[in-house]
Amino acid sequence: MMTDAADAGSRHAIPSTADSLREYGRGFAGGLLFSLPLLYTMEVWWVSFIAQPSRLLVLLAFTFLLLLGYNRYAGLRHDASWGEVAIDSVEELGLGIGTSAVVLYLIGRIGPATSSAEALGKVVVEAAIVAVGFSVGSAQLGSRDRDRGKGSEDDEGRPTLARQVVIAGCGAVLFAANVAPTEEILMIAAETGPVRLLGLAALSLVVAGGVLYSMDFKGAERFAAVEGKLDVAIGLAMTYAIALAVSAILLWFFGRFDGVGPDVCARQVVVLGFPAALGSAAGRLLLQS
Amino acid sequence: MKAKKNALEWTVFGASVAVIGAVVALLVHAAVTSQRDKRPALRVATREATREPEGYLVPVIVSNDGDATAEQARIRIALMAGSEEVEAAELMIAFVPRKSQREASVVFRRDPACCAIVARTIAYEKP
Repeated sequence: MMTDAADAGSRHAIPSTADSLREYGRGFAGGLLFSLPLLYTMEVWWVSFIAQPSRLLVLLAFTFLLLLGYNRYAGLRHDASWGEVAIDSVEELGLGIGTSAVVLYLIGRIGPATSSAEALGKVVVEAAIVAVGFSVGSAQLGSRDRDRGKGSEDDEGRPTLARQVVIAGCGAVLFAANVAPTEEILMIAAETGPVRLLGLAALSLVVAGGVLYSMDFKGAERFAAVEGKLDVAIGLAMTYAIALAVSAILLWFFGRFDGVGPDVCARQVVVLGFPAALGSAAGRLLLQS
Repeated sequence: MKAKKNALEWTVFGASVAVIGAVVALLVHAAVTSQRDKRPALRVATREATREPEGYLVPVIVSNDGDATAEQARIRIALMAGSEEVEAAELMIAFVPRKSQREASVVFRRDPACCAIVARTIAYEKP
């Protein structure tokens, strides 16, 4: 507590090694917090060796863009330039790769006998979500005053559209990624009738709208302030659209669209859209502070 | 650029650049060298049998030299005396990733030393 108070006064000084270690520690904890379910999921290990290298490259690029966006708009250093944001994102991706390799080794999923293609696939797939968790953890799990001058409150007061889109996207990814690789999404999509799926979509909208506008959720007043019914409609449509887009991207990556008809694809997007909508609505409020 | 970082942070950054660079290079290499028509290429080998209370344990190594993963691979290992099949065992492997191998074992009641061991892949799914 004492050190944090001291830091607040010297935002532009070089941080001490102990401070950096604490920051990495928070990132590490955050990364594990969000990614452990995936590190312990069989389907994810399988996806990682079924996925072709080109798809893994796309995943890395997508993750890096998400990190850039999140670090720019909600990261630890609010006054950071794009250059600093890029450096932070590279660090988080690198640490994500390292963390996922260590955990996969400790749980016996990779080892000396594993072929390089298999190990690489597993590490990259798991690293993506660890890295996003790392970023969120180091920015949000800390005690609040470090690196945040009172002066920057004004810039944060009015959330820009780009900022809301990026943060809602991060929330959707963090929350939906945990169920996206499971067989259950395909099963639900294939076995559930269209009327119930419409009901699920309606429930997604109700829950997302409630979180954003009427449940007195933490941060709602600041990050989802509205001036009229139109604002609510636009905000809600945007949140759900982001949720569906993230859900489609995740499903594509996990190979759930391969050899599947457009009807079942759309159904899967709606099924995964439920957790994604919840994640994107709650993310908009909780993942920035 | 006015980045404010200490030695530790620069070290972490440097290591991250190296790790990401290596991963991207390996993936690009793999993407470029993988064949157009991607299919699994399974190879089955057996090791020497050991005596167990249950019978004779024969380790089986299934290797996939191909560019795609084989799913639900079914392997049949038979003891052949001339053209006559003396005993056979089957095993199923959930996934044999590309360029990887999986180890399994089958147990025979009879001593495999009596016969020739013939091991082959019967079927697999493409994921």
